[in-house]
Amino acid sequence: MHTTRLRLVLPALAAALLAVPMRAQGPPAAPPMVDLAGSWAMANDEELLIRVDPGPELENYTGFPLNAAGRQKALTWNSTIQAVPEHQARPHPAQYSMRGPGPNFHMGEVIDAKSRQLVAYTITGLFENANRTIWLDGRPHPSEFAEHLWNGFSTGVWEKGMLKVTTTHMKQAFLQRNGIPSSPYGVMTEYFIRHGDRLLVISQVDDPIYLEEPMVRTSTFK
Amino acid sequence: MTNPRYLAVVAVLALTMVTLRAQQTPAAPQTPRAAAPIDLTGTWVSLVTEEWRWRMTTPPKGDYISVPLSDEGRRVADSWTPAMDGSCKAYGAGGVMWLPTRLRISWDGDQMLKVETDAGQQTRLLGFDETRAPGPRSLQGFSMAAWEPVGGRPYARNGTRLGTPAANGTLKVVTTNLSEGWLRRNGAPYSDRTTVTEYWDRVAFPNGDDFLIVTIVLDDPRYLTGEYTRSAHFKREADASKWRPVPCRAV
Repeated sequence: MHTTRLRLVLPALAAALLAVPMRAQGPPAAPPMVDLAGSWAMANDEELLIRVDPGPELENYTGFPLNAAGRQKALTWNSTIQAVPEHQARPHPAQYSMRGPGPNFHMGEVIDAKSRQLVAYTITGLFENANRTIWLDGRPHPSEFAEHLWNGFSTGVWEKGMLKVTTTHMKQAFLQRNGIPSSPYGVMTEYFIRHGDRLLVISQVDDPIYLEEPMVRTSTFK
Repeated sequence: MTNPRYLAVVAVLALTMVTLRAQQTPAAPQTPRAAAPIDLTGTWVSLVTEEWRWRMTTPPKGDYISVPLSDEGRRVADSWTPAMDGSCKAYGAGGVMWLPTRLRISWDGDQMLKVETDAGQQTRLLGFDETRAPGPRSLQGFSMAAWEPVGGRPYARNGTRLGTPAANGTLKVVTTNLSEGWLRRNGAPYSDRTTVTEYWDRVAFPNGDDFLIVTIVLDDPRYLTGEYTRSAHFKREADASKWRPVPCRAV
């Protein structure tokens, strides 16, 4: 009687114990995510004379790795272009907007109605409403022939708690408000890194037309 | 006699218990060097793409735009003269990371990161050992370092955490015990009551470039009216062949 009971209990116990490590492994872990939602204000005490008013001086290209074509293009820029009606409400492009005056912006969540999963972050409050959407659902970038926009097309992936964002399909625009150009062939890679209540954004614009090497800038928000 | 099947089950059970115990045995605490989530060692060069004219050249006397100097800070800044240019005061922990420089970073034992600059030939010691004595005030002060997870709150909605919490990925450094120094080479000052908080991050871009970004937050109740925040970025170099040490002047 006793042996029979043992014969039944021991295999069950062994199976249960073996199952413990298997359960601990569980389904594949989701990548580390950090809550980026909320309002962020510029907390960056860098080159305020250039970023805010009066803005950068004519022909001040210091710090920008312009190639000959980029310099030629920049030298053709005339500040009176900003008085032309069709330019007066021109948004800041994605290549520049995070480094412009301010910005103070809000990052919002886009939740899929069915899965209830976070599928995108929005960045609103950018100059002239060139607001951005960063898609997190793995969708591909559009065809190279698709329309280019002020905010481009952005996708993001999590890397060790940092949000890595890739932006393509940006318009021909500028890297700084004194005519430093950026072509529509540029690709921007950004990392959004949160340190407590601070947000660090690192951007690299790789522009094969106007830059000798990629342009890297960092900005902090709080 | 004992049933062989029964013996086999007991053997499986014993093996499972041993495995489980081995999994549960706490691992010996790792040293900060062994636990480093990012490798900061190597040679890095600052890419001056921001505030170029205030960093690559000595700004004129009185040009402290962007620096939230207090009245007392302005008074001290205005006492600067061009003859003081090149002073080691510009190469203290509050200012040196913002100057154009190369960094040579290495481990000094298992508890200390050594950061050398070729500009001004300074050495910063970022120590993880909390029992160290701060010593006297100095240009580089006393730096406490700790590995931290990236981010703040874990991502959660309706109280349910989504995704796994971020692992350690940032080096946080808090520096105190500083002697007075400069934020710019034109004498914009920080006082000996300054605390410098830094976050050291490393990222890789698709073109293969490796970057080190140091977010620098200064709190100085004497010479600043509020926090002074900057972020400096450095690109990894393949070797130290471009290392050009230039000393500063003790003025």
